[in-house]
Amino acid sequence: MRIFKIIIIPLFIFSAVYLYAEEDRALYRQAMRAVKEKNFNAAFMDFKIFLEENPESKLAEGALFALCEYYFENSDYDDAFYTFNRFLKEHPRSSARIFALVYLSEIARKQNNQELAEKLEKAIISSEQIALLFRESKEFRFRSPFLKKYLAVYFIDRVEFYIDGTPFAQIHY
Amino acid sequence: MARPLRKYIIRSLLSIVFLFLIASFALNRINNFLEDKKAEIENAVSAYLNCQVEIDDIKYIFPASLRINNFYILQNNYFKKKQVLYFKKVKLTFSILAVASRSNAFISRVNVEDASFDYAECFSLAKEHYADIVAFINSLPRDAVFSLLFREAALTFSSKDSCSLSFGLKIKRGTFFSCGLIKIGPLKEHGLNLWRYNLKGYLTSEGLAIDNLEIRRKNFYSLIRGVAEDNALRFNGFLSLSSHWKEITENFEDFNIPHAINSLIKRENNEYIIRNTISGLNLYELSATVKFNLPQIDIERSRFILNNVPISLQGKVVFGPKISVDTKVNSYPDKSPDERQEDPLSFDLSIMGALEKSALDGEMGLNFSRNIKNKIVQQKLNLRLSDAYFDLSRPEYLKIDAGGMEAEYYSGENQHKILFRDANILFFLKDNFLRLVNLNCKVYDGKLLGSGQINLLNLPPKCDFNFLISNAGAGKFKDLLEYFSKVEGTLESSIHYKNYPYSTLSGRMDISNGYLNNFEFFKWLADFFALGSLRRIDFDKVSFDFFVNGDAAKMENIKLVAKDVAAGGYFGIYSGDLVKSAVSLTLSKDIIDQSEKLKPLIRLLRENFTSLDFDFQLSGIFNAMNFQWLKSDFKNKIQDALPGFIERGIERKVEEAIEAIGGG
Repeated sequence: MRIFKIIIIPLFIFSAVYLYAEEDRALYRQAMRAVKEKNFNAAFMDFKIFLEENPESKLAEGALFALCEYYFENSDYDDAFYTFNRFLKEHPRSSARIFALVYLSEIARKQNNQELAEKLEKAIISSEQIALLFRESKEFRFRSPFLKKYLAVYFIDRVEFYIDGTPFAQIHY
Repeated sequence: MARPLRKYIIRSLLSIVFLFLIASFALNRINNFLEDKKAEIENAVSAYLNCQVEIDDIKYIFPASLRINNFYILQNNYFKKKQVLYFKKVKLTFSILAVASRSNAFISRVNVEDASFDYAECFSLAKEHYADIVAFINSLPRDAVFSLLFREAALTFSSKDSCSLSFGLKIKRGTFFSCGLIKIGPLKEHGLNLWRYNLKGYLTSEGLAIDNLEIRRKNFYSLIRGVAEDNALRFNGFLSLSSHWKEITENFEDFNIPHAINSLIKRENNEYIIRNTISGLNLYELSATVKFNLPQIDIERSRFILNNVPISLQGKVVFGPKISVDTKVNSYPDKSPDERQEDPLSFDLSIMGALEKSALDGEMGLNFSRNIKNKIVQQKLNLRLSDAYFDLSRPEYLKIDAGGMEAEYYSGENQHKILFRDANILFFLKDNFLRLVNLNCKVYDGKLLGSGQINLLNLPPKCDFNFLISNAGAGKFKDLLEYFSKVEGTLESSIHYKNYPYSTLSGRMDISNGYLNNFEFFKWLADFFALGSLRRIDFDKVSFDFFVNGDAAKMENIKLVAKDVAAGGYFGIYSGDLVKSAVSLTLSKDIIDQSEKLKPLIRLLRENFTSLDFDFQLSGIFNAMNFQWLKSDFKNKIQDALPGFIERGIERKVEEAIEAIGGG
């Protein structure tokens, strides 16, 4: 009986947690399926509900970035600005950080806030310190939940940003 | 027929002689009487004026005049008598008509020759007896005319400075008119120090009203009107410093006294119209209140428009044993602080100073904004002067000898500061608006020669200066430019400074026989290549051109010549602490052999060498610079010798090292 308690209770707890996590992942997977089916509105709703229900989840970082992308793609710059800021605050060490910054910088430019745009560019420049001994540039990559391929190329005097191979922004210094 | 005529002539002559004798006798008796009464007169006047009066001689002059020779008013203090006022000759004339008609003698005219006044003491005396003066004027019969004429009176301000004054004053039926000439210092060419004035006004129950005070000098014209009551002078008017002032005066011809007083009391701005727009300094819509609490004069509520810029001025001047000034001048005083900050024409100027025994200690502060590349950058200039002596004896220049001078300039957050000693400064004054300046002084342990110009037609004045510095310790200039905190050596430099269109400091610097200590670039290299000896580099010569403004601090054409290190290139820090730099570095074998990081690379080359060249490019944020090793023979050879995976490994290690340096 004692052995039963020792084995069964932890197993039960583990199963509950697993099932609960699986339920999270299921929602996230559902969102990803919608992305693959190019049903971006449904994907946005799934990511949004997932984030509401699982703000502490490991997948929350991706879901939040997906919301940012969605707002930006739909020219909802106010919500995009707010959500990218939330992303930077909640996930300061994310590998998508420089891309969130460049999005914010682009939004600031679109809203004619030159001063903020320059501040954000400075944050992008200072976010990576590079040493180019034998190569000409250093690359940073990120693939978003909306399956976009992000690329930042740091040269000695500029940073170039690409989304799905298309130039997105360029910062000279 | 001839005899009666002769008899008549003889009788007439005898009568004349008799009358002359009687007149002479009477004159002699009167003069003796006056001589006897001299002490009583002195005492009476002394008691009346509440200060000591001394008279050398008093004489009656026929028919109705008195002449006083050497009239003194003295102020007693604890140790000695101080001469407040001195008249060499005073002639008092009585009105015969008044004597005849009313049997009431009063002085109708006073002529004074060769007088001298102590300005502050006389002002104090006049203030003390102001009521008596008004009572005297009011006691004059309504139809009486009183005149006062001073010829060549010397007005003394301090032991050195004085001016010569000639003026006339006429009082009739409570109104007065005065005109005069004031000559400050020796007469200058073109009459630039010769001032003329005309004053019209009348007495009120509590003071006097100035209908019209015109002050003129060559190229200067000023017109003021106001009231002086209860120790306060309230006035408004305008002044113009130009060659076309005549055009301005027409608007004042139909002048209405009651309206003028009403407008003064209500503090209305008069609609003065400057008919011609003239190049020069135009100060109009002047409205001010000056309070005389001698020895202190307070300037309150002074407003005016200077060359279309509204200005407010307030402060005080104290004429004590030391003359002190404390004034504040602000442009656009009615704008909000935020609006003023955004406006490049807004400025705050403060001037404080004290003159004691001809030595001046003073401080000037100027705050203003500059629009630099569409950004408003706050600028601040502080100047301090100590033990300064002003020589005004030559009309064509002003000479200042100062024991110490300090200049401090802030452009945004960048601070530049420099100290001078034993400065001799010459301001050439021939031009009204353009001041040419020559300067020589000690700067720290070196010497500085300078020349330049200040154009007063602009607000703030446009300045353009060139300086030469020789034999100075480089490290002493750390407050002027931060770089100097890490350099020692003998400095020779040429510097150009101008403050328009924005503040710029540029020039060339040569430093010889010194060392670089933890100089940022070499410190970085020392950490990067594990070359501790690069932290301090003893050099034969370092030279570079520099350029500093609110946006950037740049060094170009850098050349370093040292035993084991040579360098050349440029280095600049721009807005937002962004660095742009390219440096070509040559390190000797001795230095390279010290580096555990470079040794393995060198071994790959399998070549003998005496020195190696490295070309770098640096960029990014100053505290976390990016680094690229530029192409060179040495780099190509290394790359040829290394397989790709080792290159990537080295690259990764270098990045880790850089991060460690940056993090540290």
